[in-house]
Amino acid sequence: MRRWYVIAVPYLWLIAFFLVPFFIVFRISLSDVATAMPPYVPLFDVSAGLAGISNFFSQLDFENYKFILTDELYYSAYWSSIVIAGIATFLTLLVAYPIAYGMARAPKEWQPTLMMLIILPFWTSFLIRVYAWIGILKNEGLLNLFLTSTGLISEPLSIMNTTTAVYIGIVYSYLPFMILPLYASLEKINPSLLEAANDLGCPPWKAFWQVTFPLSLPGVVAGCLLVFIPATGEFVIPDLLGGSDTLMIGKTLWSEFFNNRDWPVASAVAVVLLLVLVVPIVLFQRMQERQQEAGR
Amino acid sequence: MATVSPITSQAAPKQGKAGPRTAAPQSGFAPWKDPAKTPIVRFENITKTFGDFVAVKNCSLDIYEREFFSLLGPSGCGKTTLLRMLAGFEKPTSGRIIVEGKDITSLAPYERPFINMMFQSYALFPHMTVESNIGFGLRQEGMDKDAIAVRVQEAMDMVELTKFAKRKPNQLSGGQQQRVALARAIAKKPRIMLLDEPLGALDKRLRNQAQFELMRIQEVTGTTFIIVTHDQEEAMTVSSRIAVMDHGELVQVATPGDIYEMPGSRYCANFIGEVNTFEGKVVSMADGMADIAWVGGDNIFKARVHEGIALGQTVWLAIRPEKIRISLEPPADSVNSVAGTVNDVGYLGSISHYHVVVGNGQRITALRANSSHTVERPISWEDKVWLEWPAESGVILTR
Repeated sequence: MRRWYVIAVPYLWLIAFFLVPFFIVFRISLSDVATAMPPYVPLFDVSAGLAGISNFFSQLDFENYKFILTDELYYSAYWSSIVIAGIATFLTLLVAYPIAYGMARAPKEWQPTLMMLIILPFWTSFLIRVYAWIGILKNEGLLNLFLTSTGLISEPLSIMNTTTAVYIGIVYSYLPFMILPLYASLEKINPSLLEAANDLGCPPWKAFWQVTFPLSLPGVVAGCLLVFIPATGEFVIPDLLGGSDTLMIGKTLWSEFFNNRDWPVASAVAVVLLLVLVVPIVLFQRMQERQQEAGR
Repeated sequence: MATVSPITSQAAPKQGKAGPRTAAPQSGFAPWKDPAKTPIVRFENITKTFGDFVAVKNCSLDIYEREFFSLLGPSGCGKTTLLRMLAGFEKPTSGRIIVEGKDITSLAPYERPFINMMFQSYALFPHMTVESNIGFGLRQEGMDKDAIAVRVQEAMDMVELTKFAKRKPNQLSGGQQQRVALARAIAKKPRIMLLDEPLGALDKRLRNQAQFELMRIQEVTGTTFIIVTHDQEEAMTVSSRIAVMDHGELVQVATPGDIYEMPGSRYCANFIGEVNTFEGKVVSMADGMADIAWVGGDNIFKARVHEGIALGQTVWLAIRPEKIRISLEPPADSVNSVAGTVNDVGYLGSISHYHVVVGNGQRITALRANSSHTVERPISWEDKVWLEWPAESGVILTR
């Protein structure tokens, strides 16, 4: 009996802060837009009695979903988000792997400090850190100042307001999410495995691909999913750093919601985004379960 | 004619003079005695320091082909460091390592294809099957697939693991993992196999089995095995020769029999088997025998001299428990005898240990087989007994 009390707390939390908001969004996605407050119909009115309730349900439909799934803009936005998030995830992996590897091979006394240095940026506001990149990447920003003053380039690079800036922003912001799982799985690798590989005639660079990398795969997959899933729906970074041609679903949703004041369509966009990400989310969850069972 | 027993000891070369007692040879195999043979492995003045800590101090050692050689000593004595330098994982601070005539000191482990190591933790690749693990070294050599399959099968047959071929290491027991580690190293047919405490993680029954397995594999393949262990029983069972180490130095290098019967120092005598030591001063010498005045009583003990000692020198007379005769009657001839009281009896079925307190309170251990025909009544606690041994059974130790 007491077990139920203990499980009840996270259950209630999930219900209150996930399921309820999700159902609110879903309900709005089934509504129609209206110039009213709130800007959608129908409204659920208990005082109208049973007839009112059945009337309410009859007015809900999937019209918005039909709209999104047939419109060119949304298709492109979803696809573009997946591609951009995918490339950004790969770039994050490239940057994070050497860092995580260095951390795992560092002397044991240094590792907690290195870990703290990776997490330290999280102590400052995410928004401010993205703004800081504007200051670095803009035409008269720090990067261009450095490059032109040392004579490496003659014309300033215009990185700001392009997809490249979005990549830089995503890699920077999500780096710790990639480094930490990678570090966790690299750190577990017994160094005598590499010695054994060496002894059996395998030079260090070959041993990396045959022994270290395969053993770090769980960390790689976990890190990639931890970056890809949120990056797909990212809004702030493409909004601040991206250009008008950086099409990402987060921006689309925002403009539907605030510029068009079309809450129902915006909600439908959000629900479809969740469906798109269902596959990687389930994959991630399955993988975590399997890792826990294996006792790793 | 008395046979000479030359004993190689790094610490002090002994001039074996007419020593009538040679250690029982285990077989005719003794390449270290043959001046025509060159060692397959030679450590030349090897020193290794880690910062301030000296792990190995100026060790020179020759190991011959087809030997089953043990490096024996307590934790921290430098034996594993010596082994790792041979494998290439540590670089000697000074000195050279010569294998088959070639100086390999600066070669990396993967540049030493004729030397393979079996690790204490086995270090099996968790993401590969047993087959794949064993074939790993062969794949590095660039052998073709069919040849690799044949070799892997051979190796698996040798360690009797064929039905586990497709399993992963985490699906195997400790003993099975140990055999995979052995097969993986053997598959490459190295000239020299290094084993770092290979039997340490096994339970006693498995360990005894595995010891004989190792010896069998070594004989069948003709490989030179060099094993590191802290278990002196293990070393005595499997080795052709043992190198006893203490704090980075080689204390004695000899066959198990020689180390047991003719230890070079109290450290060696104590390390291998049980021993009783009587401290005393040399009071006279004649005909290759010395008289030693015991500090614990007024007895004078006689023993054969094997190395140079001087009158008045403090020496230790070492006697193994099984060489001491224990009896309730005083011995007829009072040379090498001492009286005492039985303090403890350990009955082990086939033998009995007797702990006897003598003279100055020293405890002496005597061993006696429990033969069914005893003339006397069995010896028990608090009995007054006499311990006695022949002059030839003791060894005089100078350090």
